[in-house]
Amino acid sequence: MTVSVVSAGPLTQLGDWKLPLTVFGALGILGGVVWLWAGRDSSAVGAAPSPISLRRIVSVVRTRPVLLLVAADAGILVQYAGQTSWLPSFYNEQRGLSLAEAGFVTGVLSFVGIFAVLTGGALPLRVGSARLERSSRPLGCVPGSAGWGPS
Amino acid sequence: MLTGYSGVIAIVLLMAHLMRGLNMFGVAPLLPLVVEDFGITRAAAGLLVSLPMLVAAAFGIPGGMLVARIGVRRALLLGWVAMALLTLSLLAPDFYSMLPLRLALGFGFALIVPATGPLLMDWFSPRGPWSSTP
Repeated sequence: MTVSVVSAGPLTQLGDWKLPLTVFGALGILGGVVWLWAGRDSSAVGAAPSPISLRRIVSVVRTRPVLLLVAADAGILVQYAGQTSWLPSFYNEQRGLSLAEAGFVTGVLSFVGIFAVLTGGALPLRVGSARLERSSRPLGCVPGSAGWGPS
Repeated sequence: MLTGYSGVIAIVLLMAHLMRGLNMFGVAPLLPLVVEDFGITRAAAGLLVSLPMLVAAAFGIPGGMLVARIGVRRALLLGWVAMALLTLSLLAPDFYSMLPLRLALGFGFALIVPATGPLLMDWFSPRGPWSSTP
C-alpha cells in the first residue's frame, strides 16, 4: 500500500493517469506466471483444505472473540480506507501539495504501520499484558488528529 | 529460517499480498484526476477504492468455500488472473468500464486471502509435512 500510494503520482507523469493502474495490474501477470511454475507440483500446494459447512462457519462467526475481532478490524479498516482514499486529495486540494507529494505523505502513514505491526507483536511479550497494549493503541490517534488543523 | 521451496512459496505469497495492497489503494492518489477526466462526482470516484473492498468482503466466506472445492493451486491462479485484469485499465474509455476491473480485483482478493492460510499452514507450521523447521 505504501509503494502504491507513493509511486502512483510519479507514474502519472510518464503518461496517462491510468498508467499506474496498468503497471500495478501487470504484476498480476508476472505473479500468475511465477505461481504456474512454483505451484506446478501438486505436492507443493498440499491437499485442498477440508470443505466446511455454512452452519459451521456461522457457529464460528457468532462466537464472542470472533465478533470482537471483526468489530475491531472493521473499525480500523473503515478509518484506514477513508484516510488512504481521500487524504491525497485533501493534501492536494487543501494544502496545495502535488499528487506525487500527497501520495508520499499518505504513504508514510502506512510505512510507519510496518513497524507498528512488528511492535504490536513484540510489545505484549515484553509488557506481559496484551490488554494494556491493546488499550494504549487509540493514543496513536491523538497526534494524528493534529494533521487536520489549520495550515 | 526459510529453506529451499518454502522460500519460493513465501515469495509467491508475499507477491500476492503486495499485489493486493498495490492495486487496492494505488488509485487513491489519482482520484482527483479520475474526477476531472471522467467528469464524475467524488462519491462515484470513491467506488474505485471501495468496490473491491465490498466485493472482497461479500465473497470472503464463499471464497473460502470455493478454495476448499477447487484447491489452493487453482484458487491462487484464479486470484492472480482476476487481479491481472487491471492491466486493461489503460484501455478503459470511461468510468463504467473501470468498475468490472475493480470488481475483478475484489474477487481475486477474496480468493487469495483464504488460499493463503492453507499454504502457510502447510509450509510454515512447525507440525506441517513441509515444515521449514525441524
